[in-house]
Amino acid sequence: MTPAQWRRQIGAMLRKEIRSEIRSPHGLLTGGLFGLLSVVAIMFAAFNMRLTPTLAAGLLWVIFLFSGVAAIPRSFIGEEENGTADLLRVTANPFSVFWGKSIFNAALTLITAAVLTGLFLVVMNLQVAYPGLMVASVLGGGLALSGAVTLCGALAARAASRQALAGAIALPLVIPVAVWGVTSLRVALGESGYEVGRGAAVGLIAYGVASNAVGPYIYAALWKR
Amino acid sequence: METLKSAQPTPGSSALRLLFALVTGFVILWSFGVNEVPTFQQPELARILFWHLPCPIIASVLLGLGAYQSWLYLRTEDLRRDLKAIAALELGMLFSIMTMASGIVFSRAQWGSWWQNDPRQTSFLLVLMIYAGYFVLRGAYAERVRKASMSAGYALAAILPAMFLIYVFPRLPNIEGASLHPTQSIMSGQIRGSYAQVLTATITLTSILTVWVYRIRIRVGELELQAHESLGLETPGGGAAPHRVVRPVRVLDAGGNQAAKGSGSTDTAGQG
Repeated sequence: MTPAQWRRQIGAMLRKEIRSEIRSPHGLLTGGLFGLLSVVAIMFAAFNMRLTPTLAAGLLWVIFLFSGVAAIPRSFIGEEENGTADLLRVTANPFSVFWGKSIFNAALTLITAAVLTGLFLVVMNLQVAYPGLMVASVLGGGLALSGAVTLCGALAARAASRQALAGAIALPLVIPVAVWGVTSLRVALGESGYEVGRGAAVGLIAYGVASNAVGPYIYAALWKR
Repeated sequence: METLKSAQPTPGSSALRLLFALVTGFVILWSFGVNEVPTFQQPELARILFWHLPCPIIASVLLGLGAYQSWLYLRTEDLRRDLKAIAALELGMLFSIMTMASGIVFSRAQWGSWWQNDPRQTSFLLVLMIYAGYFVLRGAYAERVRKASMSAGYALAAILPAMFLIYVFPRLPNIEGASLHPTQSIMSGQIRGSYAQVLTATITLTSILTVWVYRIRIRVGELELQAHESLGLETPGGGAAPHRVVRPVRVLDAGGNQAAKGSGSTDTAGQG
């Protein structure tokens, strides 16, 4: 395929995902509500405490992980439940399908993460020491989460109790993402040296690139089985 | 039947097993003969190293082997590759559990509590969770080819985070300093003399035992596969009868007697 054909196919997939989401905003609502409720729960638990950067970064990443795992697998599971997966298999290229869905999921994760981070910083009264590092951490985290969890959604899509299964198999794969995410976020919130945080953010972005590069090959090997 | 006959033990293999048992017994006795380590809180428990250290080494090798066989399965669609992957990952999970169990005992003896939140302990627990994810995914599919394909995809996707958790994470600068767990004991030559000799012997013996059990597991899987392919039988390994198999079952009436002809003496399982 030529680059123009790739762009056209991935663009078509992305537009399809956006239209589906506009028609029925399941992913945004699930991830957003899950994250929002987690923030509110933390507000209740820590109403008279001042969170340290490490604790705040850890809690924020727990929210990212669980809201991502709740929302992202939906993109593949929905195709199976609506009976449109076979149509995709007949008409589309697996790489375009995966990348289209992964880009959409990355955007969804980033929107959710940006809103939740802003809310968390305000309600917990936290100061950001390195805004650039925080943006890099959220960006890299969104990319890494979308790549790994999209693949797990595809793997679980045709199983029984698929939504819970996708979450259960995705979490062990994204914990390393959380390790880097927490490290970079706590530096962004003013703890430890900048170099450590920058290294962790680079690790996050590298994991995101690797999972989005390897994911389509694995998906292509099994999408018609 | 030829396959079943070849599974019978030969006199040569019996002699090898006896030799292996004798050598293992000797190494166990030898391990109790080495000096205690006075720097340990309980000096005699330093010997747990001989059986703890081979476990994570073998578990990580088996994880890599499982991923490699899964990759070969996805390329060739040969179910025997899937058998090799599952054999490697089952054994890998067993060795991971043994790593955790012996590590927890060691933690209690040396550091005073069963669980220390040590980064190394936690990262290996996550590796165990990755293995568990593989088996959960495998169990969620009934159809053999789909089961094999999806779990192979997961094994490949899991290898990068697993290797990160085993080799990279415990050596990160801010983690290595905070961990109670030594990460460079072998590479920096801290294990010397009789400790090094016994450790070499236990790693060798455990590796031989692993290869042996791995081959037995593959053999069992091949027999299951053979039964599944030739007879269409359900197997303990999770294989279901292939589609479009019509299998007669006896239908009994309320009194336990076989139902009369014409009213359906047989029924069928599976749809044609």
